[in-house]
Amino acid sequence: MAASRTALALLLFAPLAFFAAFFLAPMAVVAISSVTTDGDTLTFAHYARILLDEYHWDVLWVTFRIALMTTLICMLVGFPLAWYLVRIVRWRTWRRICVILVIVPLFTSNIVRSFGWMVLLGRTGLVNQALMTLGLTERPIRFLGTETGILIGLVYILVPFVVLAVGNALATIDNSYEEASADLGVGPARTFWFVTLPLCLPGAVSGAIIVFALAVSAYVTPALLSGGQITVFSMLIFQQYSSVFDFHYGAALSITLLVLTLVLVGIAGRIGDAGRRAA
Amino acid sequence: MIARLLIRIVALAALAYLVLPLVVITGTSLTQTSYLAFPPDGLTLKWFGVLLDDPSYVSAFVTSTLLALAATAVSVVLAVPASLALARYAFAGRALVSSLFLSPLVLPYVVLGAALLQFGSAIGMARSFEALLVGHVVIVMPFVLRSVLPLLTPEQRALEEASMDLGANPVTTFFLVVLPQIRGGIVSGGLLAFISSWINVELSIFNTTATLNTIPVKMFNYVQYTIDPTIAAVSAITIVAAALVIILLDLLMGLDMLSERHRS
Amino acid sequence: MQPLLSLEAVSKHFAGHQALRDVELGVSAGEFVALLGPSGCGKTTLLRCIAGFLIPESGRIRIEGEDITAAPPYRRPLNTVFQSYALFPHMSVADNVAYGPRRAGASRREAQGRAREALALVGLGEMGARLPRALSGGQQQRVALARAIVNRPKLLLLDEPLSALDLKLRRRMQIELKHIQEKLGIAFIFVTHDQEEAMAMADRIVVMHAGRIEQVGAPADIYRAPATRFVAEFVGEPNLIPATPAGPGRARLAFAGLELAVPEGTSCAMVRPEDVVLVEGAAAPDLATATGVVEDVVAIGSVTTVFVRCGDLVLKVARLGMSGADLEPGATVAVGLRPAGLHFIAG
Repeated sequence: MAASRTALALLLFAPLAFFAAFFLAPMAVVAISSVTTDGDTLTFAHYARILLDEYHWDVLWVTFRIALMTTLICMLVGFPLAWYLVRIVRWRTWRRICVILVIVPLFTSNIVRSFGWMVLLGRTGLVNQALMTLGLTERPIRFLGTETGILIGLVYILVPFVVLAVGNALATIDNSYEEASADLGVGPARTFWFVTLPLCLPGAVSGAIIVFALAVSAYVTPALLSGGQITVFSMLIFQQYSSVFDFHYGAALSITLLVLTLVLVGIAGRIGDAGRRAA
Repeated sequence: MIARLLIRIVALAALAYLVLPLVVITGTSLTQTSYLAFPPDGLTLKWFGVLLDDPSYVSAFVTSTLLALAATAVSVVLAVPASLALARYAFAGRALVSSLFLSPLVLPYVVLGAALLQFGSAIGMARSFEALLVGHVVIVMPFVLRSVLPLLTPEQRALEEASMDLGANPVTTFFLVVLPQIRGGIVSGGLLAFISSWINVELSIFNTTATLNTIPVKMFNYVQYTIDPTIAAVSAITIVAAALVIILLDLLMGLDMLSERHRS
Repeated sequence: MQPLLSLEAVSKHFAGHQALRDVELGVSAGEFVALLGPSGCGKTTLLRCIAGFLIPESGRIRIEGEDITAAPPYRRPLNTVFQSYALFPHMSVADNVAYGPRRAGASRREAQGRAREALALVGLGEMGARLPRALSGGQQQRVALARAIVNRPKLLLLDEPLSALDLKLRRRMQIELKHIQEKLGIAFIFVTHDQEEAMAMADRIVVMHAGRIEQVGAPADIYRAPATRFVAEFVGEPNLIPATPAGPGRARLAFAGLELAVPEGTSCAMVRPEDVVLVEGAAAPDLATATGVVEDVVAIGSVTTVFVRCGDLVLKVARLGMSGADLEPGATVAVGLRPAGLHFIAG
């Protein structure tokens, strides 16, 4: 037993030391500075400021609204795409190409992808050109600097997560369940509603919560597509650290975002676990 | 049947939506005009030439590449023993250690970036290559861990026991039996780690300076003031690189993850 | 003479349950010992303690007198054939077999030469260049054996090595394995839950139950004279006839009103189904007989078992071939057994 304890300690020493020094310690510094002043006295004033300032409530509300809409649209777009890839495509090569097309954006910087939409959504961008050519609008629509613009960009960045999560859930469903349902005289629509959907729901829900968490903490996309017109939560944090230099207040904002995210991810994990147990 | 058709239409539209920006950026990087035009107005590679002549781009490119390489190497060196410990030993706090190592996957990078800047200032490491490196190691190590861990199965454990039974000590066993079995996971996890480091903005932005800059951060700062085809050219390079890496990954381990596993 | 392997009061716990309790055992050089027991009895745990993959909490393990209780697996003069074979999938068959000699310091050429010999011994001389996954299950099993004997250990541990093979192949491998063992003179410790396999191969059988050794003995002794009710039921089919005390040193059996002299503490008498007969006409004088009613007849070809109810007791009567297969349930028959052939079990 002693020998295996030593081996375990040898294996874990370096990674644990690294994470303690460069992950836990920095986080602890932030946590401590969020409840102290420059004079090192304990205070909850920074959190009180977040709670009491109406501007922050507006920012929080905008952030949540955008995240919620992003999640909703991601599901509406991602679910059919996942279904198509898993259940409709029969030609393996095409599915392989499609999967690559879904993943390439994930491997491309947020900045590149957001930049693409800055170009596409501009006054003379391809989207407005197309809309005007089709006669859907007479004057160019303003996208940049609006929530619609941010939504288009965020959905674009996050929809691959939904496709992969739902697709994986769909791909692992044993088709004998659906055959059993059909065998019992249930039509395709009702089979989908009562059998397939419940079976892939845990995967879909945990995918949705991940998307929501990422959308709440997104920085690059809103920063670029808002054109300075709209502020979301992570921008507040960045401002405190880069231009206001109020590290204590920035720390309180950081901890708030962190806790929010961890709670969401915790819920997603619970749902995922429950789904695995049920499956 | 109508539902099927509808799904087909939505799915193809979604695919088009996913591809459109990438095509547009790559296209505009080839334009001859000094403003962004799509479809490109004439074809030229001159914007790529502009990049190569700009030392700040070259140095950012070098920084990004070195950073990604170093972060990947360090994370592999840390993740392999960590995954062995997690897969091979039952110990108190195992779940806690595992969630500690995996938590950067879901952490807001802005928060970690801010934390590293603040912590770095306290110990005199802020805005340096080292500060960037440690942050990147923290966020990319989970990718390596996650692709190595599933390979350390009970069957793999039996191979290690067989090796020791035949007289090989733990170190020999690691190099002759364990490493060959987890090489695939290290390569694919390492590629993911490299890419994630290479494209990161949120974490890096806190610790970069005008002279110590990565490509994505440089682009981010640039795009907020100016938009011209050089940015499209940089973007096009990263898109093509990402596509190549994914095709490589696909050939290496098959990304056909969405084919059904229980169909007869 | 000093035994090759000796286990002294070996105990091992796993999270709240005792996997081994004070196991004592000696194994001589060249002996074939089977560890027999149901799953969870501790036989695999004991094997893993001997191999060095587990370290017991208390007790000593010695090989030729040397204490190896805490020695790592790679410093023990023994080898193992794993249940899953554990062939290295990234190495050719020859490299798998040469792995042991290489680690023991042999040159590449020497190791390859010894690997060829070992493969020839198991009848796979031509397969050296292939990868393990290109071989059938039976061939993989032989490679695992060749890999484990190539270093000529004094002791070979085999963890249910034949369990993945189909019945016919398993029978053939049992005979072959026994021949190889005799030829090499290596002591084998063979873990199995299949009592027929243990009886067919072993010089001595160690029956384990709930982390303890229930009985150690030659196959015939274990079969004829099981020490406990568990052994009687696990090895072969027993007829257990309840015995109630009837005066000092005597008991009354629940069959034909028999009253016999028995050892102290006897709770039942055992007779194997093949020692019970159906009596037609006059019974031999040394037979105790009773009448009963046929409940069931199970004929599997080589053996027919007739279940006969005599009062509360149902006796199994085994007959060779299909004789008796035509008996109808409900028929009245006379059954007989030799009181002198009864084996008494305590507790």
